[in-house]
Amino acid sequence: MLSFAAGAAIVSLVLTVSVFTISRGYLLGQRERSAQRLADADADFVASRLAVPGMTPAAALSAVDPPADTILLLDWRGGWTSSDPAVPARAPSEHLAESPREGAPTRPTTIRNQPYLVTAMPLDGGTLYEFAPIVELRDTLRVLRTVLVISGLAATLGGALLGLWASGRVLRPLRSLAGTAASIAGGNLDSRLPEQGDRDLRPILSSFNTMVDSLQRRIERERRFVGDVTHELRTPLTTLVTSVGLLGKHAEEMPERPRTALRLVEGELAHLRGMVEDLLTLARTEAGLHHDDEAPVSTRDLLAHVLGERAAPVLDADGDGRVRGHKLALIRAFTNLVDNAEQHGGGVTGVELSTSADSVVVAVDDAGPGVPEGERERIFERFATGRAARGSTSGNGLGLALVAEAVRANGGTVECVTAPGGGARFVVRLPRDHGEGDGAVAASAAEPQT
Amino acid sequence: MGRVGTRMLIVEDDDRVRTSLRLALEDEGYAVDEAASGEAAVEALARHGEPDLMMVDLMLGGMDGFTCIRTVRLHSNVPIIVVSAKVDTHDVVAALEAGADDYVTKPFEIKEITARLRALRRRATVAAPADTAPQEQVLQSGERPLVLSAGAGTVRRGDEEIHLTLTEFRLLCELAENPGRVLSRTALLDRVWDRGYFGDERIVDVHVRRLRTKIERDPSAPAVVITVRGLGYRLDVA
Repeated sequence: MLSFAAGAAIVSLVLTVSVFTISRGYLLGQRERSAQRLADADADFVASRLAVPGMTPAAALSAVDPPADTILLLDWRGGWTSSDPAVPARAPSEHLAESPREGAPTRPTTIRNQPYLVTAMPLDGGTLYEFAPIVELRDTLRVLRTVLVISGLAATLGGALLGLWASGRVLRPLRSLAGTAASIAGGNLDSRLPEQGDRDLRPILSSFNTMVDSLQRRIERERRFVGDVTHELRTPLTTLVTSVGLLGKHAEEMPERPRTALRLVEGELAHLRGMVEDLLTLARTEAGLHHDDEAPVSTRDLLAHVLGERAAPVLDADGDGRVRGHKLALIRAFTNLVDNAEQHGGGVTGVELSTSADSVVVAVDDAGPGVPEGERERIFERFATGRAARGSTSGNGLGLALVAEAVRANGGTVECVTAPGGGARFVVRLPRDHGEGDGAVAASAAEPQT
Repeated sequence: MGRVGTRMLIVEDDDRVRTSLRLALEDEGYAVDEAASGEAAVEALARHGEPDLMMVDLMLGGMDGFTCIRTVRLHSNVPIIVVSAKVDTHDVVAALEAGADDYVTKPFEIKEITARLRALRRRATVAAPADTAPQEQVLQSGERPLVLSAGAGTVRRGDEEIHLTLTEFRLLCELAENPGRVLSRTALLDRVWDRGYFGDERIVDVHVRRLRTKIERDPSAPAVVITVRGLGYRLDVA
């Protein structure tokens, strides 16, 4: 686009300059020739008048009838005469940087700020200087220059616009390809390229769409599989949880060794249950299935409830932090963030809620060593806690993946940075709800239909 | 606690789940009967009479849980808690609309279920404190007025008694105790279901919907239980 504009600018500059130079030269030449001819005629006439005995130079000059504004100066036998009373009769050298060569082509000068061409014509006994006005020529050239500059600018602008349009047209399919690819990468698997468009591009579009189709099928099959498996696991887990719970109630009646074994079973069962629960929630969130409808949610209340069950919660809230979202998913996201801080980060040191024009920002800081730069994206992937960390903590490697999914499902983002105190800071950004008052939209959505 | 001797019917087709539930609940002092199918449950009700509580799985061979609940509801107001591995919105809402009072998803700790059951039993035994609540409260006057007798546990439209489940009745009493005041879904969840902020607000919505179809003159234009946008529900005495 810029190159188009620059090209247009250069072309129009060259055109403007050359058109102006040529026109100016041509017009000036023409004027010079006509001034020369007129001076010739006037010189002949004055000479003939002066030849009449008793004729004064003034009478001779006044007998000439020059075109309007033309001034004649006569230097005859040592005396100067002017045809224009307003112009003092003086040597033309006062009006000229140097005296014009006699009979030579005319040269420009100015008198009382008016431009003139001066022609010096030798007479028998003197010289006739004829000042031919070129103010009209000057005006013409001015208009021409203005017109050329304006059209040059217009051409530059036009070139820029043409460039913009042309590059937009050429790049549009690529832009839409890039946009769609980004949308798919962002998890929106339903994105496809529109099939219409350039004949040359059609094969690319359709193979791109075919690729995404098969990708989507694979991903959905995988998700369904995870969902089904997890669902099937719930039934045996129910038996296990219920029965182990019953055993646990009576653990004191058991000999020590089976009791220790039972405690192991209880621990692993809790781990397994958490993992199944998280996997299922993850699969559901990814599939866009929610337990509740989207509604206005006060992030401050939500955080207060999530932190309410913890020891020494520190909540620094600025405003209500109203968002529109799925409350249960958001509860899960923030609970997991706090759990993560407790399991991997040595505990929560502060939770801060702030509001900007269009987003609600929650920062959860922990007291741990922080997360290395290179790990900050990866920790949001499933089972990314790392082999070393898993054995020693109760995390199941799904917590942060769930946070990322739940936040994304609510239109937000989450990232990991360094906390002011050196630990890890998890920053969740959610789009702020600007709904009318108490969220009439949500209420009408929740309005029971009978 | 009043739960010792509480008769409880478990409707669950998976033998192991059913047995483990029976063992755990018996350990908590419940008297537990089992039914392996919806048909068996309906038959058990007909033969042995109404239990104090029912726990119903949604995925049953033959008659499914939804049908089972609807069938039971034709004759009975017994508190029903749904226990299911299904957590999809439409399943939960459908179960509640069929007439369930509450739901718990599998797997669960037995203490979760006993808490739910206690809340249900409380609704069954205490409708409203008889000494503080007025004996009769006219909720809607005019021809065939709507009258709530919290102490007697009845609601009448004109001369006709309206059959509400215990949860619906409890919900109505909570709203009627604070006429003209908005009660949030969270508050109602807390007072009626013993669930707080983390509960599922759809339970409230579905129960309000069910309540309206029974007590409102025109359920599509409710005049007694009003939705207050974004805040909750309010009972208007008119």
